[in-house]
Amino acid sequence: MAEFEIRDLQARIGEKPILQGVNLTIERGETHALMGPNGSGKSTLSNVIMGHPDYEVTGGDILFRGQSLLGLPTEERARLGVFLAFQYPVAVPGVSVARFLKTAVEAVRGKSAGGAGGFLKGVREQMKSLEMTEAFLDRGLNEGFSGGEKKRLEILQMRLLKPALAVLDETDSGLDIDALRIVAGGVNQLRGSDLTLLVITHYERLLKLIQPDHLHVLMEGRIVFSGGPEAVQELERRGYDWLREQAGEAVVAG
Amino acid sequence: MVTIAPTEIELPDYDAQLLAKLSAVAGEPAAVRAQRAAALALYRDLPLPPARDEEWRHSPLSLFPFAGVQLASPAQLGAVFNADPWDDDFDVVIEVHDDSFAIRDQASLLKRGALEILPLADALARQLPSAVAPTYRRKFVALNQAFWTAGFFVRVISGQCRLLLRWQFTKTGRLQLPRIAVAVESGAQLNLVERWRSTNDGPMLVIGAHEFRVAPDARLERVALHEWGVTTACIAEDAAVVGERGRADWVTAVLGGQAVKLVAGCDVAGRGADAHLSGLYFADGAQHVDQRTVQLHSSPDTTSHLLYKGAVQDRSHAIYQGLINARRGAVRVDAFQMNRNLVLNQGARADSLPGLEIDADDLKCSHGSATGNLDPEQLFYLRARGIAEDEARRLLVAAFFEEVIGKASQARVQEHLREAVRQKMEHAP
Ligand SMILES: Nc1ncnc2c1ncn2[C@@H]1O[C@H](COP(=O)(O)OP(=O)(O)OP(=O)(O)O)[C@@H](O)[C@H]1O
Ligand SMILES: [Mg+2]
Repeated sequence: MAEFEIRDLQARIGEKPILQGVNLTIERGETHALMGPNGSGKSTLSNVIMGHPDYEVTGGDILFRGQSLLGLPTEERARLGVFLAFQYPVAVPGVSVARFLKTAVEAVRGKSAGGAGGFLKGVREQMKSLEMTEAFLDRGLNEGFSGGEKKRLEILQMRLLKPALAVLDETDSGLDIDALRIVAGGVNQLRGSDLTLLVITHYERLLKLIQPDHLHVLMEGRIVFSGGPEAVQELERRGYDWLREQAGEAVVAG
Repeated sequence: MVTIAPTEIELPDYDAQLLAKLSAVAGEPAAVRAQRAAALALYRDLPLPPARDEEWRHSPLSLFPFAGVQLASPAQLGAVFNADPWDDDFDVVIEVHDDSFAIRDQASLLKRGALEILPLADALARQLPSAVAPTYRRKFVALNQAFWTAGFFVRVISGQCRLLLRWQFTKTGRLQLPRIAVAVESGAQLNLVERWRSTNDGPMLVIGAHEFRVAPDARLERVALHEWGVTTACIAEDAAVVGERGRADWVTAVLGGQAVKLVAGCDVAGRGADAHLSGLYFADGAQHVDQRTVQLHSSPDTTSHLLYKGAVQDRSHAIYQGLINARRGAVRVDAFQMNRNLVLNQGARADSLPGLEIDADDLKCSHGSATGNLDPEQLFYLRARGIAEDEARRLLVAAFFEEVIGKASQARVQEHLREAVRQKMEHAP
């Protein structure tokens, strides 16, 4: 049984179909990259995996360790170990980062043995490794955060929640060169047989830092290419148009 | 949505005979009786607000149980003072329990002459200018000024004073008319917290009228907590006048009560005066909460900043009406007004009616309002981190109110408000 499997997934928002039969299988501990042009449905797929209420699944299934996620409320998916690093993390003024992290970690992992003090100590260590200052803890969640700061906070959450399956939706966008290295390092430390990863990105430079085992391309709501990671160079060089032409005929299997 | 047909109701006959009885029980001197009589004449002269009245059309008088209540007896100095944990955070405490009151001068401010507190009758008898209310031509203010059943005159002469006023009504079927007249003298500061509470085993009606004078360079911070029982209705009008370079910070929280209709008016009357009006309200069940604010700029170089935040759930209804009024010649005014409402379920309702009346130019003035449910993207974000939906909703509602809770300076008050919001969310449908 694959760790994570998406079978012929179809989803729409309102009357507009977006995912039109997505198939994707990831074995435990593997890292897959997902690329594709703007608007092709990558974030939609992430949101559907997490159970966003705006999207209606009209066909297919999403299986995590053989269990369908589709009937589960969002929070249940998170508690099973599914994590999404958002492309656009939303700001929640009035909820401090510290309060939020504690609530989230307790919801997913239960109360920590070390009490509030122990919890904060752990958070501070993780923040240090991502080169975040402690001042963030008292701020409103993502309130006034720069693009890069939001992305770091997403990865901090991932490190604290220790998911089994993580989808990173353009975690590299908005990060400067140093931050990219720090954040990628923060992800790589977690890699291993306990973490299955789907990394969504537009750029090769992230995939140089977080090296995937496989690469997929999503276009117009379908996976039009699945192959080895080396294909990224060809994509960088040629763009997506050549895939678009081929996709008209058949889906390329790698 | 509940719509209440405007009904013309008859109020009981509040007349000279009833007033004479009240004054006799209280043993009041002629000067006080005369002032009550003048207010009664005004009351009888003023018409009832017509059902279509802009201010009253959302809150018909039939919401208030006039027919089911009898005038309470005037409050008298009582023998006992019931201590309360809140007392520790204050210098002076006034406790009113039905028709008995007690004053505790914990930090000897009264003794030292930094503060003066008089039963209102004594202040009126002495014709203390700051105790004599300006004659608002307002029907229920006049009723209060005629029939007030418990009243205090508070004057902060120097230094800083933290005053707690605890009011508790337990006798059902009563009409209570509390009245406070507060003066903060030049350079002095008053931190006032009013807790308004009642039991909920029968109808009660409270009609309050409170006046605040903030002298030049003085400062008033006032927190009013309306925590009435669910069978109590309340109509109250608060008016403040802030002198040159004075500052008033008001936090009005409405959490309890069956029907509550409040008016909070603040006149930044002296050059350089500054007022910050904040409101927090959370209605549930069948509660009806109607609030009107007036930011009156009668002088140049004055500022006022208003933020009212409310939530409604179940079948409750909240109404907010705001008015910024800049008088002619009030130049370089900076006025801001914002009302935000959370409608937590269908069937609950929040109306927001901001307004401006500007006779001056050369001023900065803005207002706005927003009403809606919790942000679905915020909810999704929290749930995506494993936080259960009801817990996420609680967090977001708490976050929504945090901005106004932060306007109250005392940690105890802040924590109390947070807890009150939590309690309301416990009963979320
Ligand atoms: N809430 C929505 N309402 C209407 N259309 C939507 C909504 N969400 C997504 N879409 C549409 O669905 C399509 C896919 O969007 P999606 O965000 O999944 O693309 P993406 O592949 O993540 O793009 P990008 O690379 O720019 O992040 C787009 O055409 C988008 O406009
Ligand atoms: Mg996207």
